[in-house]
Amino acid sequence: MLRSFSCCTWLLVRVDQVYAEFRLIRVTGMLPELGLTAWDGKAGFRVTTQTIDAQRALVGTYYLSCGICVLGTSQPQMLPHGDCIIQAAAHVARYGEQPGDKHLMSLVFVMSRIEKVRLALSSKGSLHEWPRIQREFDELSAMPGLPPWLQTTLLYRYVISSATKFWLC
Amino acid sequence: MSRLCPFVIIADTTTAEALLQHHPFILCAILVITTAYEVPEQNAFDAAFRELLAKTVIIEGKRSLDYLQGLLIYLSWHQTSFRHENAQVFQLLHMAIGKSGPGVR
Repeated sequence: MLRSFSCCTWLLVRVDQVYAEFRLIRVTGMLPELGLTAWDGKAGFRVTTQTIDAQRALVGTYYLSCGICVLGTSQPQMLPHGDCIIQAAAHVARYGEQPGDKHLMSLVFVMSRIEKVRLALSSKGSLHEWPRIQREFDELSAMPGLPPWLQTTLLYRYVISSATKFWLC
Repeated sequence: MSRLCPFVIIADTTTAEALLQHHPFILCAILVITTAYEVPEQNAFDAAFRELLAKTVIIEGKRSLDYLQGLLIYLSWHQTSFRHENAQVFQLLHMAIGKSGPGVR
């Protein structure tokens, strides 16, 4: 009896119209899962802020995702290039105190171009973009004071150039 | 190490004791990748790393920057501890991506 009654209630009337409190509980329960708030013991819920280490880790996750999926294997890219990656890299480049922080934007740029090259490899229609991508890589590699990890990443421009020659032949 | 992997910064003055106290997962990941030439020790550390990961992240559902940074270190040098029988690079990478959301502190 109770079960049928509750089923009718759920089917006929939207629960958030009936139970305002339930809606409030549901929303507040979603906030920690979305990462907007966090339970902080006696202080209760508080709004989370992305620290510079968290943003640095986000850029690192993107770097690893692109490196492992796009370059290492033929798996699809798990964490695609997006605004949040650019914003995180820009924030670290602006406020970071490490010597290589200012090059994180370049790293994100290189990896996004590698993503594009990967897409171009799978479709010949994007071949016209390759000379521009190669030129951008060359300009970036000519920058003075590049850290070693970015120099290693730029080695992939040779892969791009050889792939271009292969496809154009 | 931070010079080659600029995504996890550990100060030069940080001791192993401080890491064990505040960032045990990072210390465990460092121990796994730095014992590449001592296979039995590396296997033991690798098992401890995976057990700690499963216990805290999967069973207890904790979200912390410590786990994400440890995963990044482990995945950045995964070739040093790669074994065919328990290779989980993509699973761990998925886990790192899931943990790199806005809730990480």
